[in-house]
Amino acid sequence: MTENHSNSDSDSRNSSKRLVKILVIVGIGIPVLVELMTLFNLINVQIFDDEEVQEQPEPVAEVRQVTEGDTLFRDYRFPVTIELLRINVSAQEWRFELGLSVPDSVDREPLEIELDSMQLNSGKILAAGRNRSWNIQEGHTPPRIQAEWELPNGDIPGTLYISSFQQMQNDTASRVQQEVPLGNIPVRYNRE
Amino acid sequence: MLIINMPDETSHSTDANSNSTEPAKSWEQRNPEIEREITIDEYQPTGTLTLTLLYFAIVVLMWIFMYFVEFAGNAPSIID
Amino acid sequence: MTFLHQYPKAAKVAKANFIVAFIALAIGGLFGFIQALHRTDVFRGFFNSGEYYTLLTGHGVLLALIFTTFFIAGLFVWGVTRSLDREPENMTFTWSWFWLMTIGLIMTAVTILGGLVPDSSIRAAVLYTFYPPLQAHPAFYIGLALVIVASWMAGADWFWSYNKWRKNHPDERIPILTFMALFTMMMWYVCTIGVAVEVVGLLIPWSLGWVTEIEPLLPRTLFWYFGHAVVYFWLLPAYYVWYAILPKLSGGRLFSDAMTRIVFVIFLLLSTPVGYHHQYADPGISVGFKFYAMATTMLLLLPSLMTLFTVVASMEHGARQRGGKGYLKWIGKLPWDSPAFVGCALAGIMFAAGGFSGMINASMNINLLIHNTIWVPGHFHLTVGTAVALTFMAISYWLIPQLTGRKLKFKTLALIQPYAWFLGMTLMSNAMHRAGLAGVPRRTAEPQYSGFEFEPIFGTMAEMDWQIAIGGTILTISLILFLWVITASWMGGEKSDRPVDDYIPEPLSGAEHTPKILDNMKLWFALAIILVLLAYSFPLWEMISDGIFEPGALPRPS
Ligand code: HEM
Ligand SMILES: [Cu+2]
Repeated sequence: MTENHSNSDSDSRNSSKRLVKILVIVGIGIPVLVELMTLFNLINVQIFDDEEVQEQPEPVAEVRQVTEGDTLFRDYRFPVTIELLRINVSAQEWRFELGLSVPDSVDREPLEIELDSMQLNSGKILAAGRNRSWNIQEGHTPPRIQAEWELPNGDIPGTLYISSFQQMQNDTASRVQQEVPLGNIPVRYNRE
Repeated sequence: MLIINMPDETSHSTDANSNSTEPAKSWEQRNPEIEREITIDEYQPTGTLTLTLLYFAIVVLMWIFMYFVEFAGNAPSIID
Repeated sequence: MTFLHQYPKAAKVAKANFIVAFIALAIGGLFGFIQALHRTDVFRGFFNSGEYYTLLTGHGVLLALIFTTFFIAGLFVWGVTRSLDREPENMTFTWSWFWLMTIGLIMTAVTILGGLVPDSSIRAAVLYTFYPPLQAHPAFYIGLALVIVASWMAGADWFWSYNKWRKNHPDERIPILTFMALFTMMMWYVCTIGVAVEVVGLLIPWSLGWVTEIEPLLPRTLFWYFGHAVVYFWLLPAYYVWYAILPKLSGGRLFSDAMTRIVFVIFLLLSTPVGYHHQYADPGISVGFKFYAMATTMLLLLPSLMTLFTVVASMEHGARQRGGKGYLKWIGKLPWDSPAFVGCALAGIMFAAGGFSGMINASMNINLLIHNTIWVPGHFHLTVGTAVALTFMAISYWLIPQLTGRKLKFKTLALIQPYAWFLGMTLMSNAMHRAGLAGVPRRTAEPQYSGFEFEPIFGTMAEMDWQIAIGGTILTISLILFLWVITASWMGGEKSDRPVDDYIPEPLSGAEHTPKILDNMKLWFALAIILVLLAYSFPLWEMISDGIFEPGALPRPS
């Protein structure tokens, strides 16, 4: 490009001048504009929006997220503790594990816990399927129950819908459903 | 330690120095794009000075700005 | 007569190195494009998120380690041969380092790409920083070790030529093109000791199962001992081009030979003892040592600022010889229609911008704000991704014709290419910096979290994601243009005795004004070693007394 000087090239020289002009405007002009806009916005936010920034911590009704060790049905006679909450990953599967325990108490009445469904972070809702209710009879049941579900690869449960039938003293049963927003679920890899 | 000496088998040293010796006409004179040759004595890099000062000015401004954002402002800061 | 005709053997070696470098650039760049679309959720159909890390490892290793090393080897073969006016001393030796380096590269690349083959047990998704706990197939580490050893041999090759030359020219100054290459290689010898010890002493035995437990701090420290200096190993060859060739492309001469040599001496001395500035967040290293590293890092700004001054002054000299006037108006007289010039100049401007974010990274406390966020890739795409990569691409437009004896084809496309790179990189890097300030992590296939929203200082996440994706796309187009122009010229360019003007004029202020002591390589090498010992012996001793060789033991308070 720097070696052509003959007159017959003057046309191509002009067109190459125009090309350079366009390239400089697009290739350097836009970048400079982008950076200037960034600088302007930064300064703008920092200096003029300070008051707004201070008002920011508005009281968002924070949903407490439930993690391992938390207790469900806290205000009822039979609270249920989450003993285990994790995702087990191996090369073949992506498995969600949930373990619940019921405190041993002397006057335990029959208690039934049922997992109705769960909502995954991808938005899918899974029905719990068979065998997802547990009867805890007086005395002779393990106070601890555990179940696992195979989930679509990479998907993480966001909310569980759990109900508990609590037998009342006056022979009435009441069904309480709780929506359990799950917090951080540890993901464990199984290396074989 | 770095300098390895090995027997010189296929060493090709030519004396032709066509690249490094200055031809009779200086490079500037041979190059049609160049209007005039500027020697070291007449060259004053004022443009470079201007650009360097501009760069420093931007650096200083950014530091001052950063100071306000990070330490004097209410924005999140590491020591919290 | 051009390089090919004068030094046919060296030309062949240089070309072989460039071919490997460009293939690595092509594959690595393709991965970069996929990453830019994947992590921004613009398009995730190429690979699933688990394979993202294989791609990211491929991108980092192929571009930052392989493309750079091979290109540098080709560039130095060209520079040393030409400035000493002698072909390599022994072609068997020269080809043996080339092939060793290539075998090493292939081993490494195969283990990385193995991760994309379903059910393959060969994997190396350990990222280009490759320290534990991530573990790769042993061949990955062995391949890297071969590349390093071969690069040492390449350096020895150039020292060998230099010694031979010295015998015939006992009183001459080291020619500047050789001086810069040798000082870069001396720095490389000092800093690669760290990775060599890490790879051979720790990683290979560990990946083979001979050693089961490794305390992560030690390999991290050894890696970063190398990891900062390696950025100068990339950068100094770009400086090489800016000092030696860019002035001439601008129509002028290098401003000062002495300044050039001083800068390279400082880099030899200070590049390695700053590695802790990559470990500001690592426990187990006293804050005092980190502070020492920070201070040294700030000192390293000096040679870069000297480079800014010398290189800009040389360009201004060119512009004024071309008729430029005024304080800033001369800039318009620079050859903005020459692809090689434009690429180098735009690379230099980006590097100056990278200096801003670099100063933030280097400051110990502010670093915590952006540590491990996407800000960091935003920064180093300005430095290695543009200052180095764009300079290498641009100077290829000038070097490849000399090595092939063919003229450049498609000059218009070649001219569009650096402008496109500059535009694409500004978009991508600008958005990466901003996203990093909002806390978006780097090295993450899906940086989205349930129940949590990033809060950008201004703008929206979606807007930044799109800016990254569009920037990455423009970069990819620019890369394709580059590869196309080079391939076409290499295969089908018009044959010529003098395909480019390859004459390099003497500096304005020449070597006769340069203090002799600057050429005393033994002195500077010894000083570099002493500085490294000062910076690293105490911290390493502290780590050892903290039980670094008893992995799994409880930490003891010091
Ligand atoms: C087509 C042009 C390029 C595109 C679109 C691109 C894109 C990207 C993206 C999006 C990332 C961030 C990934 C993450 O942290 O999740 C990345 C990382 C990186 N890029 Fe590039 N890049 C390009 C060119 C380059 C060049 C030329 C180099 C160096 C010579 C380079 C070196 C790196 C390195 C070292 C990393 C870090 C890898 C890691 O974190 O392990 N890139 N690139
Ligand atoms: Cu560094």
